[in-house]
Amino acid sequence: MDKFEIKIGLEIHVQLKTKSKMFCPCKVKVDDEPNKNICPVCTGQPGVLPSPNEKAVFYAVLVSRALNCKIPEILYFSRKNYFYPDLPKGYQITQYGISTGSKGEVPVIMNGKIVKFPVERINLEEETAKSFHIEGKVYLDYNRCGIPLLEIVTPPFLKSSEEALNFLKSLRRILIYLGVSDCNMEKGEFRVDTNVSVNIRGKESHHRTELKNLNSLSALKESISFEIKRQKDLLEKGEKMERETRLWDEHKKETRVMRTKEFVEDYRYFPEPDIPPFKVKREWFEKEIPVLPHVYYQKLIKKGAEPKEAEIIISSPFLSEFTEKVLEKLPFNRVKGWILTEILQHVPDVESLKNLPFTSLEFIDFVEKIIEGKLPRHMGQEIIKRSIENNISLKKLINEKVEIKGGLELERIVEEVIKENPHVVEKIRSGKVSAVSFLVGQVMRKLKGKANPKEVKEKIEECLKT
Amino acid sequence: MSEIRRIIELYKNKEKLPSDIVVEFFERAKKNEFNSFISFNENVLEEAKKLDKKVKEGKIEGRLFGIPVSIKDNILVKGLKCTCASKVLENYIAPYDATVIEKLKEEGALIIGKTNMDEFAMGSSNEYSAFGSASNPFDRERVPGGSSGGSAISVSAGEAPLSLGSDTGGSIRLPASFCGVYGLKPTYGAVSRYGLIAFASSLDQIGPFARCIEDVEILFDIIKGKDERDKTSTNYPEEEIKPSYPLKIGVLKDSFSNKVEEEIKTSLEEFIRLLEKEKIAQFKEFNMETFDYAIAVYYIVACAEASSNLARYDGVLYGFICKDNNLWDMYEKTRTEGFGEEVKRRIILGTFVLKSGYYEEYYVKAQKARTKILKEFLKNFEEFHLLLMPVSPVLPFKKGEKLKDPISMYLSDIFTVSVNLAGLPAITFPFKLSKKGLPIGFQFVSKFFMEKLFFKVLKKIEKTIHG
Repeated sequence: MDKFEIKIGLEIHVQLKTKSKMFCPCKVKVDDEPNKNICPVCTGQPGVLPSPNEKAVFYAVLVSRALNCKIPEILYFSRKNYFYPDLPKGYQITQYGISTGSKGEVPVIMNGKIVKFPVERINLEEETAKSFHIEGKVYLDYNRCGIPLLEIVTPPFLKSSEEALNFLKSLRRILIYLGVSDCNMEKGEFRVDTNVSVNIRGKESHHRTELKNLNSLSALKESISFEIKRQKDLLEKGEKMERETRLWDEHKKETRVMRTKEFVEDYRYFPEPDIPPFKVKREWFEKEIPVLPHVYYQKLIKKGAEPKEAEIIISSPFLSEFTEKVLEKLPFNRVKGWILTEILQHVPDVESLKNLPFTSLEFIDFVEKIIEGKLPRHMGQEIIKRSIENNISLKKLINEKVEIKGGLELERIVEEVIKENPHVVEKIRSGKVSAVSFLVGQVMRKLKGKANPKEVKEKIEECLKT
Repeated sequence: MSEIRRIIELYKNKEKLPSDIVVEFFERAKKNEFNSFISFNENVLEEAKKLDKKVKEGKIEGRLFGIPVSIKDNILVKGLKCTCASKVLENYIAPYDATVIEKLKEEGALIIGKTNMDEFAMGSSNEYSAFGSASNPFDRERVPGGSSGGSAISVSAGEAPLSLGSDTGGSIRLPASFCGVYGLKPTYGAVSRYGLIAFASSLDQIGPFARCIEDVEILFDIIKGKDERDKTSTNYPEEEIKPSYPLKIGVLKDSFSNKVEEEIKTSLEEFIRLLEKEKIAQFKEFNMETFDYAIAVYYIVACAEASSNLARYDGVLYGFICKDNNLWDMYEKTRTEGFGEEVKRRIILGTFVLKSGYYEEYYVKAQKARTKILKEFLKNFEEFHLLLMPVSPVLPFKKGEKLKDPISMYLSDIFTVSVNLAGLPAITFPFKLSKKGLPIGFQFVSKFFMEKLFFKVLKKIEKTIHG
């Protein structure tokens, strides 16, 4: 058994993609010009009162259900009191004492298997304003202030940076599948605070480090690894550690002290008197939970996908569903190249997969044509490329290739004409290039003029080369 | 007689125009003899002139058509200053209308100005105003009561026929009693709080001041009702109420304790005899075991909520600021200089009772006591239609008398705070003047959403006593 005991806990903040903010009708649009989407409520003017966004509560319940949490019958909000310029009311409306979801679990994909990790609680709260530091001055943008925020907290059950990374990847995917957030880390829609504490087994101490400034999953993994090593080294030297907050330096690849927590802030929580306790609606439990990524993952593995391949496919809920439909008709190894290489190399990002210009049925038909030899592989590759890049359906492109611009038909007829005119071919090969135009004429005649002579000429030259 | 009816009659008969009426009240108000106003609506005459046209066209629409109304300076009226009688909001201009103001405007009311009050509605004498104390119209040496002192004065002194105030622990009923007018603290949730600057969210309620019960009823009927912007507001029940006389009314035993001034006690006895004689009611004493705890429970709950509600006045987005290069110094200076003594006292008290380790001892316990108070009230309502008690144990006191002793100031609320803790409605009935010519008022308390019972019964009492 390892001499060290590692405990990692995560606190994740997720911006929910509702149309309006948590407690007022302002639009949720952080990218607009600063301080455009604000009102008396979200800027904490005197006399205003909060009206909870029902959609956000529904989303919180949906996530809690998907993660198998206990959900109380009655929910209420509490106030967390502290002063900061990004908090206009001097308190944040959050949940305390009672959570929307508690004691749940996240199905995490780890080394090809599904492992369930516990979730302590899921709270619904409001986002703060965004502050910018420019030339020594602080600017505040309240567009972000009041956006519904989900706080997901785990107990310190994770043992390594790999576990933490896989946990976050899986959780993020689930939230995307549920449609509650885009979880874009760069935009701050999915933020993670990490607690790391390494102890010598049997010698429990209360030190722990909170890691901040983790803007990507790779930064997260690196910083945890760094922190584990740092704490192990200190323990080896017999040094004492305290409770502190450390900042990850992306360039130096190290963590450094931000503040030591000698005194713990007292948030003076108490139930929010402006929002009476409310019942969790029955209808929120009736809505079906979308199929979760680990379910698709398991199916893909069963159909013969490698873990890595399956993980790529489930990165997009659209692609999971698409692939599942395709696999009803075709075996995985027949389609994997087309999906994993051909389709994915032409889409700008996973997000835009949902805009694919063809249906799974069209795609099945396409792959079948290739299998049957009706469509040459290289032409198929070109069709996929043109389809995605120019947003044209597969069906249309296949038909064009075959019937109008020649395509399949063209290739067959060119080959026919070459066979029928060995002398002309001989002449061309011996240098009389102009003789090509005779062959072009022959092809055009057979196609009844339904082709572009330039394309026909290129095709003939291409065929003669091989 | 109803001021509202009187004025609308004048319009209907084309004897007077809204601008004439507004000038009458506005000129009296602007003299500000009693310092009852903090600011005035300088556009009110123009607004009135628009209504003049309608009078000429015979289009008198709205239940408050052309009626001047004064508004406590903790209720937001778009475009007007809303100071809450505090330096922190000295130059704050309201960016929106409170729900009650929207409703008044829809009925054609003309807002003439914003009335003086104790800073953030914290006080019982109107002496804790950043803009100076106000004077009781019956004796200028004395306080008008608080916190809605200015509203009570404006109605009492004829500066406005109607006013809106707010009541967290007696802030409508006490000044109404001290100034000899009617003041209603509605059932919690009956009137939207949207646009009322919060003091203690679970206790605050907006309510009307008027010189007759009919006007109280009209004003209440306009402002009541569910508001989507206030989740604590509820639909007001529509049922009619038919009181059967003589009513059974309980008189609080503590009304006759040694804490209560002699003249108030004898007046109360006189009042009871009168109603019994007229066969309006039969009286019986009742006891409230929780009575002695109410002040303590009230100050814990109210201050806890206030400490959080007032956190937003930090100098960052609006209001008073003491600039400093260090953020924490800025906060400290802004709030130290911006708030008055009493407000700071209550913020500190509220911060203390919410501290972890003390929260259970104070706040949680106070909430339990609150439930107990409500239960005791409801138990008494099994026997009585209404409960009766003094509004205040003392007559209007002299300015400065209680300033050095906050506890004695707090005790002037002993009869009012438990009603807020229970969320029940209560109303001040101005009974008579004392030997020294100071108003004495009594308080009726009813079950939830029984304001209509007040209106019916008090019309009868008003007729009997005031003719």
